[in-house]
Amino acid sequence: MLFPHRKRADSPNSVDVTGQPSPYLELMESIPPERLVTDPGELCVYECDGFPLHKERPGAVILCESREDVIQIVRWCHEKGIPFVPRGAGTGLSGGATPVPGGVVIDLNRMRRIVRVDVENGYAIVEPGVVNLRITDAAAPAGFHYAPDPSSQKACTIGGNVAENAGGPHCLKYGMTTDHILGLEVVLPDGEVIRLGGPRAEGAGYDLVGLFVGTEGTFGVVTEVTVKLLPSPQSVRTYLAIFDSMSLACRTVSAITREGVEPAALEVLDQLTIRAVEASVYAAGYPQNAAAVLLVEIDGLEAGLDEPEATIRRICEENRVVEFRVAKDEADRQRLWRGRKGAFGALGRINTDLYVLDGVVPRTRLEETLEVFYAIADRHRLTLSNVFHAGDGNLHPNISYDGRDADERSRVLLAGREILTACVRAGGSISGEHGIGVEKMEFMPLLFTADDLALQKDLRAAVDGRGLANPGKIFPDCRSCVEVGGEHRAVPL
Amino acid sequence: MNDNAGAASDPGRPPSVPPPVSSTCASTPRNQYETAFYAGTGEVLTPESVEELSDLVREAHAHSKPVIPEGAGSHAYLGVPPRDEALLISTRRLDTVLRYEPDDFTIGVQAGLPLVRLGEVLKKNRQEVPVDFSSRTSGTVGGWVAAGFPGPRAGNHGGLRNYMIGARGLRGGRRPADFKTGGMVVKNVAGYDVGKFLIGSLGTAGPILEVNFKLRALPDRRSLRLAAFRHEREAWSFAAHLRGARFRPVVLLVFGGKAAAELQDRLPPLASPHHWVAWGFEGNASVVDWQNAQVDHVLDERAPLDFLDLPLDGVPSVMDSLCEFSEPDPDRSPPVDLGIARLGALPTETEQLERALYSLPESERASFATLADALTGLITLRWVAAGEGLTDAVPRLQALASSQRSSAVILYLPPADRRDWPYSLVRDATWPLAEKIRRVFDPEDLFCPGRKLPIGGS
Repeated sequence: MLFPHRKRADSPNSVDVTGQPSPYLELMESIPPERLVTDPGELCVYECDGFPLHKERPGAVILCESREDVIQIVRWCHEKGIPFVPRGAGTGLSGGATPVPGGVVIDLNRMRRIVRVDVENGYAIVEPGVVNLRITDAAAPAGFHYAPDPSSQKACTIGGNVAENAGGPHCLKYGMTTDHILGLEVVLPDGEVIRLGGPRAEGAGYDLVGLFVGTEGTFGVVTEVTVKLLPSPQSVRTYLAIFDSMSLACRTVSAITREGVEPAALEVLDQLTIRAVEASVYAAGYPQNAAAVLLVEIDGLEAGLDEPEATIRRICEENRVVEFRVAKDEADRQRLWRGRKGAFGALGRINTDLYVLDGVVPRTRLEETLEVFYAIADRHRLTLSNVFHAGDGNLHPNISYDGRDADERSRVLLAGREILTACVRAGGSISGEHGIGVEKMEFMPLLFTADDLALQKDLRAAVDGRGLANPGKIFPDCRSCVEVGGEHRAVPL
Repeated sequence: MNDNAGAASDPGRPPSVPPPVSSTCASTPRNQYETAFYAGTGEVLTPESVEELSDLVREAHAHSKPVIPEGAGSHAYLGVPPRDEALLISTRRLDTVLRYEPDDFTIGVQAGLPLVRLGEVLKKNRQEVPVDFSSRTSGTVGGWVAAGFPGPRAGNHGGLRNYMIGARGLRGGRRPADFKTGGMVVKNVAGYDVGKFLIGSLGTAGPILEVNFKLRALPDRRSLRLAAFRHEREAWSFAAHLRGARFRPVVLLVFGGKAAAELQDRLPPLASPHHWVAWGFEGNASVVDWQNAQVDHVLDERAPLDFLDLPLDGVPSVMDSLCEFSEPDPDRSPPVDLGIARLGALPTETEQLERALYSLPESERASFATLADALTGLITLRWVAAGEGLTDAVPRLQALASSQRSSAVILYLPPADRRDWPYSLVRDATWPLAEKIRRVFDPEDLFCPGRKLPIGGS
């Protein structure tokens, strides 16, 4: 019996679309109504995550509150052969949490306990529904923080971050989510629970934690995460460099990288983004006539910051910076960051829909790649803005469009494909931090050969023999392989 | 026209069978460690191309013959040696720098590239992969990844898992196929991070063919200092202070037992029988000087018995010695009286773990030398004993690790004893899953079977 509790009344969803009794009738018998969503109207909320170009209606959503809930649901799915999709806050941008039609969505938002914070040993144990920023909030009084900081860190959950191997501006210095995950508790697709890694120094086994992070829910459901906590920097300095050309901003980034300076963050916003931000509640005081602004942050011991500041300032001046502003206090710093972190929200002002792309190129090829992006947008008559993690070459071209316009929608998809292809041609990749999800499955052959993909699929099959954990993500299906087969080419490693 | 083509065109002659690739592939004699630990193998086969290497693996699979992939064979003692005759295949001739983008701080190399050459190439542009290895090693990049050793700076910079951004490997089975993972960009989440599984795999996930790294700039300044304390507790208290303060030591090691004596060739003053702590800072001159000044104040209060500030040009040599502490001397025959193990704990439990080690019977602990990394919680233990006395310590270590909930691996035991003990002394519930995943790379269980985990994973 799942979830000992009271019974639920008849539901409008007691038959499936074919008129057959819904498999979820059994769940309705055993799950408290406030934790089981089967009403079609309510299910609409779960049709997509932050990638609205693809929507599917799940058969049921289970709001799990504990590891035991997850175990029982996963076992039930395994027994019935029903696919399931784990879901956190639904802020993912590649459709990693897009439901399988008629399948189960395992909602983990109610699993939000911070189990332990141990700053002496530099770790915290949290449940998957804990919001990213809450971890830092919990550790901050002791002078520690959790480093990966996706723009959505006020909303996104650590479980989703693990699934997608999320990034963020400060990953430039501190590394991606995978660099900060010490251990995982996972309910495997057959319902077995396994603990991988942990806070103690290296085990003797394989790096299964490293392998599991970024598998987008295809290896099971994470029910507990051990994250690394880092001492908060003694000092932080933030600068805003203003340029009248995107090219000069990009050259500045490349030069800073070349000099070996290691900023904590190095972010670029283009003019359209600046204007959207300044017209929004996220207004940060960016000059609206600037072609690009470069947000630079360095941190560490105060004694060591003068030198990198001088180097950064010199490089900006060599690249004809119009103005070099220094955040004069924490409030000023927060204001500058508010504009950057709110940029995607602000871009919602431009049109009804926003397609946030995510590609990576070598940091020395930013300038030429952006020129290609703008040309693609022009050719397809689309509105393109760019706000990106310049320091690690992680670009976020954003296309503002009206999703009700079928023609524009198709042009958006075409342009998206061309943009990601351009990233690969520049020696980059189709995702720096958002994951593949359903968005980029068909682009995987741009990067990987059939043998590369076969290995990954076999790994998946080894963990999930029945293919029930978040199916239809990451890997192109056979039809897709055929469609894009002509584009297979040797891509240098 | 080659011989085979000639034979095929002559109907009167029986078709000739091409000679096995292993008989035509270039080879080299085994080194003394390979000879001692890979008793059933022939010479070291040294294919000059990935295709030739694939052919060798295919041949091995056709004959169900185990394969030992390796680099220079400098760590042949790691893990449980093969029981059966095996094909020993080295990537040492695949030693090219394939892609180096200094301005982008990335490099891609073939697995057989000697580590020393990697270091030299990067140093020209004042760059490094900040995971330490001895500058005296003969090892290769692929072997480095397969061994997955943490260096003395792991507490600050992390390990290879934090710097490997791409890899190419060879998957076994009837149709060996090379695969790639990752790429040459520093941020990349396309597909599974398969490369992570290769790190520390000891060759059990097949040969590593190429590796890409992201790089860091060499620090402008490095300092390495040592202080000796009268009592063990004083040494640990000082280390705990450095770990908990706002300093950023990149190295923080507490020497136990005979560790100072082990390192006395490099650091003569350390021969004194006291409790030494070594710590290092790096960065620009200002930040290193500031941190050293802060520590000076702490030292004034704690009055160590001895203090050593290594000259700048002395640091690399000492770092070499610290790296070599976890290895037997490669220039001598495999020692028959040496054991090396590594135990892992929480940083705050490291002192307790070390104390537990030194509470073992006097007959065993008398020769103990330990280097405890106060940042990571890893303790490397060396001990010396003759005959059965050497391995008597192993079950005690095993029991101690279990009771302390620490990890414990055997890094070195003499060839005659090595097969009696698993690589990891502590069982782990993840092994069956790990083995299931490993078999994806090695469906027929021919890559170093049993070397890292017990055969079958349980």
